[in-house]
Amino acid sequence: MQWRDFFELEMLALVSRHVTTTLAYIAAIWVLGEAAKFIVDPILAPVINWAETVIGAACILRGVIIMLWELYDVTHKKISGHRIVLAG
Amino acid sequence: MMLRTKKSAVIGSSWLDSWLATFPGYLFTVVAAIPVAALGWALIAKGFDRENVFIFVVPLAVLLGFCLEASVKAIFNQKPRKFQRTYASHVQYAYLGTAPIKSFQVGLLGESANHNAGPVELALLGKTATLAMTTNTFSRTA
Repeated sequence: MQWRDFFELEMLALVSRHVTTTLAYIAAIWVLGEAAKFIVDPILAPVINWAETVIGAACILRGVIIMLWELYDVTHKKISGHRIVLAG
Repeated sequence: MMLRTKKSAVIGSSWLDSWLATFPGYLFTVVAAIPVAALGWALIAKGFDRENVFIFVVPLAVLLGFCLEASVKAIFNQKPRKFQRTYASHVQYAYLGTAPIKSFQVGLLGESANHNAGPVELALLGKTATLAMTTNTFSRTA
């Protein structure tokens, strides 16, 4: 396998992993928020909407930060002390 | 071959394994974001601009999430404490020979003040006695 194939596969796996995790969390938070709106007093609906927005945005920001971190990590990976140069 | 990167990514394992390793990390951010969202709501109620509060609150939640993750991982990854081997009995034996043992034996008969030996002293006495017996110099007078 060429380094470029390895690199692209790794990138694809990494990005898709974080995107799907973020989407899963946003969906779960949205579902929980909607359920909470049914249970609690309707006057608290704006608070729940705000919390959903903040949590969702935090998940997205975390996803972006971790993804960039791992991308850096993958491209600068060292095996037994030697840095792999990812060239095509 | 499994090559673990600094974070959750693992080269060589299945996509599902890596995905499952990625998943719990986000939970820390979600947990941290709940009180931070409450703080943001309080700031909005105090009259701060909604957009400004949002810009302030979201990175704060992420930062707290990272701190929480690091703390929890540090707590769970700490190694169990091992007993430290000491050479106190060797020092006692080198300095005092078998005198502490003899003194304790006398103390058992009620003739010395050494009968109030605490657990550490008893342990030292026991170790010193073992040392004395294994080195076969029990008859040595100190």
